[in-house]
Amino acid sequence: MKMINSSFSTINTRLQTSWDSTSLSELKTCARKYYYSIVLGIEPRQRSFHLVFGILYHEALEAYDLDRANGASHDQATCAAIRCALRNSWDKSLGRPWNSGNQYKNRFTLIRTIVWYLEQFSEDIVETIILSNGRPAVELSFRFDFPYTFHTGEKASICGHLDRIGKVNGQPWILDRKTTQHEVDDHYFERYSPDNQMSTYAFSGKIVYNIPVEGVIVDAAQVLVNSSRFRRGFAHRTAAQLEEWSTDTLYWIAQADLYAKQGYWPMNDKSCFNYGGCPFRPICARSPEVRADWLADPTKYRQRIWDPLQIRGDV
Amino acid sequence: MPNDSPLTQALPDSLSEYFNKDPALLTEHDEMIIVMALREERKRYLAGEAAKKAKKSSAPGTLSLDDLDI
Repeated sequence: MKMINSSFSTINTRLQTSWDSTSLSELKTCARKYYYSIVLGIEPRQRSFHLVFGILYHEALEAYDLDRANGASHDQATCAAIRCALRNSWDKSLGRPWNSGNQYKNRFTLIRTIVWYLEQFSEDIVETIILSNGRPAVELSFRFDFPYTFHTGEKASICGHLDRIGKVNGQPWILDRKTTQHEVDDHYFERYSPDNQMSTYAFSGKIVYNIPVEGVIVDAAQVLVNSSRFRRGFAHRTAAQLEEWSTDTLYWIAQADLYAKQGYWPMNDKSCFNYGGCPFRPICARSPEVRADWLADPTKYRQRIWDPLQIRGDV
Repeated sequence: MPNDSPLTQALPDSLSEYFNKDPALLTEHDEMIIVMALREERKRYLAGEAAKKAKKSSAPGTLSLDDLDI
């Protein structure tokens, strides 16, 4: 039985009406990849250890932010962070730790990176903003209407989740954290401008919380075998850049509308080897009449509903 | 951090026993030991990096053909 995805239309069940940065990124990479991963809700059986590591790291730092926002000390919140990471990286069914099989990104380097990051920024220059409702701007889920009406008559919306909004020298910024094995030099930070995720965050901060953010602060962690290194980068966004992103997003959502209406999502066969290689390339490499069997193979792929209205965190 | 904080107590040699244990069975004290051990590891790492940097900046400059007036 296909599970219901609340971010999709109830009239055309292959039409996504609420969009987050992950869904948009998949669509922009390749419409066929978007179809498999978001519309059909399929992922490789073996989840990328990069993805798992990133999610675990994010969740732990969310636990830290929440604890600090609730008045905990740095030490108490650090313990809360590692508690979260240790528990979320424990396989309860097998009664053993998560094993990534990778010398760089594994459970130990995860915990080490969390503790070292929190020490690096224990005297953080970024001051968490207090919203108009008196709550600190951490763990913020958002959803707002977007000016597009689908062929079904339904309206589009943008949704997602922000880790934190803070101030640096009196200027507001969204905060995000990333992990990588690559050196976090100036070249590394170039990838965030332009960038769909960072633009979505900056646009959303402005629209939802009426805070004209300067952009996104990216705290990048380079995870090595014996150490973790950190650097903070700034992905600026002007009002004009955000306006441009908004216009571009309208075009992309209109494309998705057309694909859903026609029931066809074309391949972008120039993207197959980007970002470490598409997990669905083995499917697309085969003749169309046998693809359904490959997708249905439980040893290779499994169901994973990506519902941005339910799932928190675009890591 | 106050001087009587549990986090200032002595550290174990290895963290493997903690990492191999079901985390639901770890106590707050266990968590504090893990955090402290990793903070100490970071201090050693940073000290090592600082020493490498100091050694590099005090080393004589690299000679080139120009210096030899050939």
